[in-house]
Amino acid sequence: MRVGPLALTAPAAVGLLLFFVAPLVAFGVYSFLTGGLYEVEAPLTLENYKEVAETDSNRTLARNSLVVGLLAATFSVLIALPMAYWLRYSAGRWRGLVLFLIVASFLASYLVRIYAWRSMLGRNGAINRGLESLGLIDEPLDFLLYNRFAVTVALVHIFLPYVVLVLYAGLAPLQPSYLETAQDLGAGRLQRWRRVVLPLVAAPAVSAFLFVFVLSAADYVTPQLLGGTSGVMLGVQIQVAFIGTGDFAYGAALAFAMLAGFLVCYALIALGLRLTKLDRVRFVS
Amino acid sequence: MSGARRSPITGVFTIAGLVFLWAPLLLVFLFSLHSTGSLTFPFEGFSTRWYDEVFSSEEIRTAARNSLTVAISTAIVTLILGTLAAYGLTRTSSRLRGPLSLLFFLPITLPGLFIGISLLVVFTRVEFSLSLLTVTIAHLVYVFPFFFLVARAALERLDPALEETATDLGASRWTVFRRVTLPQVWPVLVGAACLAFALSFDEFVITFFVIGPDSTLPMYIWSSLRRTIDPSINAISSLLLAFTILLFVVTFLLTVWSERRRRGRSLAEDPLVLTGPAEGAA
Amino acid sequence: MAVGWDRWLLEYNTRRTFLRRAGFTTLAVGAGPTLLAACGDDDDDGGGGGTTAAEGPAKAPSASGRVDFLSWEGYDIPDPLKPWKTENGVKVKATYIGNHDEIQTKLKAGGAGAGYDIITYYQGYKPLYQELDILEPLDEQKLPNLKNLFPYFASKEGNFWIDPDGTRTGVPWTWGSIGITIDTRRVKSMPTSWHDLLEPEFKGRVAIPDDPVGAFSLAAHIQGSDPSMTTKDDGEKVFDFLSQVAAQSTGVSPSFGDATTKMTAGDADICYQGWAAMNEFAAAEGVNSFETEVPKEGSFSFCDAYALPAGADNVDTALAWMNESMDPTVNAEAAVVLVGGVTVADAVKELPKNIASLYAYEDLDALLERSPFYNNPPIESDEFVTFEEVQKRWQEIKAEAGS
Repeated sequence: MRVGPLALTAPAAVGLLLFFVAPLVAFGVYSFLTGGLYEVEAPLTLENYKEVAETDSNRTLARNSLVVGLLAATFSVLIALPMAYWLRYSAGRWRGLVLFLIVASFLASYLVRIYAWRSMLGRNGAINRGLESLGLIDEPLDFLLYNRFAVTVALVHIFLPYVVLVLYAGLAPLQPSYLETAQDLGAGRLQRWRRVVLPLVAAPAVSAFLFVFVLSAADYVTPQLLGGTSGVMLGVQIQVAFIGTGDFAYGAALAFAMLAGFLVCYALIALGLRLTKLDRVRFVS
Repeated sequence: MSGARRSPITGVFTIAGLVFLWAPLLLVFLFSLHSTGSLTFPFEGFSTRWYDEVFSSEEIRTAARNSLTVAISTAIVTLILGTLAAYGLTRTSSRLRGPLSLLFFLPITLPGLFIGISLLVVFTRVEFSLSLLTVTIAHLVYVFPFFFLVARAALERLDPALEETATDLGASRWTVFRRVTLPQVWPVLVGAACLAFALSFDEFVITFFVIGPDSTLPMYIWSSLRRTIDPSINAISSLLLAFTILLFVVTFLLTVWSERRRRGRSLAEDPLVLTGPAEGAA
Repeated sequence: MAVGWDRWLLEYNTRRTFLRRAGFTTLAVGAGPTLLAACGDDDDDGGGGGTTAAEGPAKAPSASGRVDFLSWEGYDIPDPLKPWKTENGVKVKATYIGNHDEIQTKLKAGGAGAGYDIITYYQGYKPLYQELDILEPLDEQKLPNLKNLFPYFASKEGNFWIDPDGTRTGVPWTWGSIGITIDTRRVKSMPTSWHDLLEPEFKGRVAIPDDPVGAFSLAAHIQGSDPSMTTKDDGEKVFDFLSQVAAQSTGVSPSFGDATTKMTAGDADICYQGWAAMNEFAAAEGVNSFETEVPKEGSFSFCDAYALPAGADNVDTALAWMNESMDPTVNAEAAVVLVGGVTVADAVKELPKNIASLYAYEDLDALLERSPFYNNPPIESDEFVTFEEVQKRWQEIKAEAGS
């Protein structure tokens, strides 16, 4: 009876080993090979990693990616939290509709959403035109598009629905009656938040934060369409190394350096959660 | 729920959030009806010409067809492999449970860039030509964790007593699965398969690396974004959004209907039911 | 117009100023004697003095089926080829690139089964493509229209389309010169110099397409050196200039189409490494205010040639396509659509006035001296800036542009 069910996992496991783990390993090996023109050659070397570390522009890009990733993740969670709270406790009969609207926006095409922000933030875009027609500005605002701000806004737009749903699910076990009890026992609003809601929502919030951070920092489409000169990010360099410069080994080294960076962030945050004991919050009903 | 819960701040955030989410999408829809080719204001007038162009374009039809093919294949294969894997994993007590769980979960943690490029590297090395098949394989890797998480959560929530009883009464493992387990979880599985479909249909980041000469709809949109853009892109995406929403509504109704039929419970009591297939993504 | 043409053809054939033009590379010098032979061959323009054994008249193969095309948008000239496609039942499946390097990447990554039947290459890319082994030789027996080409384009000039040993790898069918593109709605007068782009009025208003080789070639030309022979020291000056231009930009656009859209949307006013075709792209969006001109320092010219990639399966149809592109009417229509130049002699008289006046066909020498056809930076070199260095430095320039 023990081996039986396990065998059912075999096809999926084999598939993933073959098409996910093995390619990643191969990709990793590439980073230690010598890059030729649109191919790699045998001599093993650490040159690629050295080059990654020594190229100044990589530092700029890494910083940009880090900043954008952090900002996108932070704002996603900050905006999503009140929304999730409202959905859980204040929505009443509106809950279905609002949930539907949130999920529906999630289903819109990734590429078109990024591009749509050009129509919103550009010189002749919706925001500028709106502000002008309201008489609030005379000249169009130029700082909205083709920079880090635009990239961050678009990324928040992409990930917000997901974070709202995650936090909403995280709040599910917390019955309103518990919050009422806390209030009756004398806990002010701030205290209720800090000592009841936040610990419960910390774990899902952190996992959502990490998810948004990693995917935002590695994004290579948004910076190309909205980033301008200050919003250039690391993901693009990796993409370009494979479909552009042709130095696969260097691209691989850059990719794995980025991965190492992510792992460091994961570890730091896991450590933070453990230190504040937030990783062990469980709801006992 | 008492009035003390009704905090105006969270309400304001929610409205602002909804406006933020929908403003660009509505703008896309607005410009899909633009009478000129421009995608910025001033708005010249209304016209359905872009929808006409979309419907009469051979290229778009082919791309859409390819996307459908890949997405349906992905959804079906994921459904089968994922259900098997989730069932196997939740019904075994082997020590491999942990590592296997991790394996099934891992692709989610990596940006699509990695999955795409590593597959490109392998396919190139073994000279396996890039085509819709390679795209489907890549999509399967990407989509699998999403399905698996939902399926596993659903299977774990089941009362094991039912299955044990059936087994004790002499039913074979297959019969237990078919007549006890499946009837309870199939709506969730179908919902997760639809999620897989939707994820595959809109997938671009990974597809970009492993696609050959054929085109999928997101690739078509990407190449359009790089040439001279015109509102036909807006028309395509409005249609796509409508289609995907419809798909989800149908799936959701299906799930709810079968849940209600089984349990005869009021929906308003259980907040988790209303999140539909997305609940597992937590 | 016809009178001017005959005269020009005559002068063209007899002039020995070929070698002066276009800052030719060492390869061209090596091909010198054969060039002169080509010049002298008034009657036999169809082979550039090489391998065409006269086994009988050249005949285009029959075309049919599906052709997988990989190149820039518009280079599949759908409308000019429509009669030919309908007549032969040919369907085209096009994959468009935003950047020339995507061609070699897709061909290398896809392997032999990549399945593209026809590509194009910018003249400077030929040595690299041969090094990468992705070009198939073209059977001139199947390209009777080669005789229609101007002698310049039919020759072994600069090793762009025909190897020194006579093997043909490309069919040049369109060309043009890079210039400054402006949106006259906001830029009232056309700048006369590339350096005007660095003026404060254009800060944050410059569009740049993502073309490392093109950007470098242009900058090298502006700084006075041949991009295929730029010393490392001179290279620093060139990269410096590029950095300054990048700092003036709204960010590098992933493609020419994107650069066009930035301008039509009002987020950029002027384009570095502009292309007359952008005028047409903008017109298609309803904006008729674009203008493109070559400023006083000149620029570089590009000539794109159809080529047969390794792994092509519908070879005959691809060759028939190439042949068709050298038909005077088709060649002329292509030039109209792409706002470019014709490579076929008889096509000029079929051009409408505004397209014919784009390039001074009566004094092509002078034009090509101002805006030469260059080769790419070398693949390997200790003395000169290499192709790989250009690619890498370009990425750095893009990354640092905002700081």
